[in-house]
Amino acid sequence: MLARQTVPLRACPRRSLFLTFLATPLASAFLSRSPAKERGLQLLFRCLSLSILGGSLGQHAQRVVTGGQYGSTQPCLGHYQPLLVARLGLPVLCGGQPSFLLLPAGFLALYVALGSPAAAGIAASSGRHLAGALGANQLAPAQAAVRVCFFLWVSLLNLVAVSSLWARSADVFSPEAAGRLFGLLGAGATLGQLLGSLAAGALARAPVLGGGGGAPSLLPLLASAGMLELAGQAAARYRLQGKPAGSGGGPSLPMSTVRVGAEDEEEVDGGDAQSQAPGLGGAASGGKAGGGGPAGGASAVRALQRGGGASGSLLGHLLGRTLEGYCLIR
Amino acid sequence: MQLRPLSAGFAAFCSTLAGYFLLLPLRDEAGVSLGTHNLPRLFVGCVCFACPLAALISASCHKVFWT
Repeated sequence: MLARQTVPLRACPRRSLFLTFLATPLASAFLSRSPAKERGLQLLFRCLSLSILGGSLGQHAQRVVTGGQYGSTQPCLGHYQPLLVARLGLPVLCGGQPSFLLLPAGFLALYVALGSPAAAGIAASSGRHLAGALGANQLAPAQAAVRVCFFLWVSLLNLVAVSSLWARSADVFSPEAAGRLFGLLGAGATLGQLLGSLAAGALARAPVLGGGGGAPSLLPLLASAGMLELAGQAAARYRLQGKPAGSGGGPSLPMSTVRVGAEDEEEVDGGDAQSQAPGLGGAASGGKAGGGGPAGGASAVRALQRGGGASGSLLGHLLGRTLEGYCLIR
Repeated sequence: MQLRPLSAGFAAFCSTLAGYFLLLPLRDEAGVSLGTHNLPRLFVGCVCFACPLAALISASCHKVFWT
């Protein structure tokens, strides 16, 4: 039993790496095309919510193939899931920009990446028909692989969403206002935890929508995707109002200028703020962005991208982006 | 003055964590059904998975947010 469990877990890093390389050009491509900061954040959240839908689609495709023991209605319901997801996804797509037509490709790629273990799982699960219903430790390898991917993806999703929101918070509020207001933002986060737990409890008592066969019900996944889309809508409005210069409207403004504008508004003695401005901007860019570090990293990245040919350009691009992210740490 | 960005941030945090806590029971169920003795390996896998991907996403976010 233990040996059978270790096989999908050992195969999992390769699959999650594959999934990573499929799912992330999506996010980076959309983010690099977005016109403004809060718009980029909204697009990131939309990608995350659509990735939940893609994961649920993959899980249900896997369940439809492997979980035939629960009667004929469940596979029929399972056949409706792509329709449902497409119907939910299309208004989201049409609300976006034309460059969002890239989205179904990544979406389908995620679906294929999560659903393809199902084909390998047919042969494994056809012999032991009731294996999924008997106990926790008797999962087919495909089921175990999908679960591992789901586990990894949910952990990563929380990390990315919360950290990017805090980064945006630090960008929107001045340091003085941050001291006053971040506690309230934390209270909002706690309220969200409470509401999410209550909603999860309520949905656990709700009738199962498309679940069974070991796959979870679709309702929490759909609700979670909807909440992430709402979070994206809220993040699109997450900017300082009534300030023409620094409120995130100018996409070409460097960050230090924006920060100096915020300082200038907060502290009324503008001359001091202006005279301190280069030091502040230098400190901010040294702390957050790093003035020369990313440039060197970026040149290495360019060289790497030029080095990878036409076929390996996507891989080189992804590797370059990852290296660039590591250069941004200091 | 700062009420509108505050309410927007409040709503964003609230709905993000509500969405995460909707998924959390499913994630834990998946982890338990994989076997509790596999949970340490799963979390190690989370770290190995998150390190390159977080760097990638922060790089692309950085390109948009702060340039």
